[in-house]
Amino acid sequence: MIKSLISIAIALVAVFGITLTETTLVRSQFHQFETALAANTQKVEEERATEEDLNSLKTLWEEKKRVLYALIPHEDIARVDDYLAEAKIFVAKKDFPLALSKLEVLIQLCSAVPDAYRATPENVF
Amino acid sequence: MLLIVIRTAIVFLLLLVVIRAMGKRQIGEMQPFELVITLVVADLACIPMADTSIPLLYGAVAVLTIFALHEIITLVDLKMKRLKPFISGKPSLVVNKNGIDEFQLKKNNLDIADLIESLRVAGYSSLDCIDYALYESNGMFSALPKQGFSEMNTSLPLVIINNGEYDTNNLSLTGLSRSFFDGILKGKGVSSYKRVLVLTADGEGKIYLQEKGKKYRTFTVPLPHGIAW
Repeated sequence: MIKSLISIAIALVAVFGITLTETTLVRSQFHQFETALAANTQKVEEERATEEDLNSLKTLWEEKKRVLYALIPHEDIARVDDYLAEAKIFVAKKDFPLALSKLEVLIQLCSAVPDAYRATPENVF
Repeated sequence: MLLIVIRTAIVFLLLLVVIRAMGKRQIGEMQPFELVITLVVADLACIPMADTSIPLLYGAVAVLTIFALHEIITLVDLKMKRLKPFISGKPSLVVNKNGIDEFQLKKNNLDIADLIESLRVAGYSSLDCIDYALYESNGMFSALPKQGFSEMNTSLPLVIINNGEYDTNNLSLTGLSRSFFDGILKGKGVSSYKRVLVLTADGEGKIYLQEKGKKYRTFTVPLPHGIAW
């Protein structure tokens, strides 16, 4: 019985430890990325964003991705990659309205993706 | 990840309820919750194996959850006797000293043919060879034979009437007619074959007769000349 209780305790600690770590990490990674996105969005609105700004944003996202690959399905990461690449192209072409639309979608994804993995009744069922 | 834990637990409990509801026939030699785990754990582990876009942690967390649930249910099954019938079910006594318990058979989604098949697999060819027969909670069949039962097995009994209906295939195998058995029933005070739960006959004329709701009787009748199997 002691062995069973210990193994149950270890399994439950592992399971809930991993879930707590995952929730915290995913939220913090996307929050940091969202902060950087907001700053770049303002620059794009003011039409003073450059390709270098988007390159820095991409570098930041690459760092976040390394952690996120282990925690969320890669399709979600690929969606962010796609929109970020498009935003970078539009900024390079000085097409700021289109670049702004892509960045706004990215900001939306920064809250939508973590929310999709929260333990809410809508997500469970 | 907490989503995976919750969804895994829900699917597990749902499967457990469904397998318990399906009854003993479906679960072979395993307890219901063990069958659920067998069904679920391989798939859970395989999903991230096959799909590289899904983090391996998803499979690991799901399998760990299944493991924890299995340990908890095993502990409850062992330590809380009052909950054991709900988790693993109870053995069903389908044959007792009065004969076949029709209610228990129906409760386990079984009929006479299933019972007789289980008896044969267990090594008993006729219903009057045994005192008791049980379907265990893991689906296994067990029987307590009468003393000297091996001497009783001299000819293979055939089911002639099964739950109020003549088995025409077996009847034709015997070479006997319905009127022959109707005569036997009349002689034993049974008004109609529809009142008979089971009637078996072997090639030496030994009859096992159980009316619905009554104790079984065995007796021997002379078979017409040239009839034997």
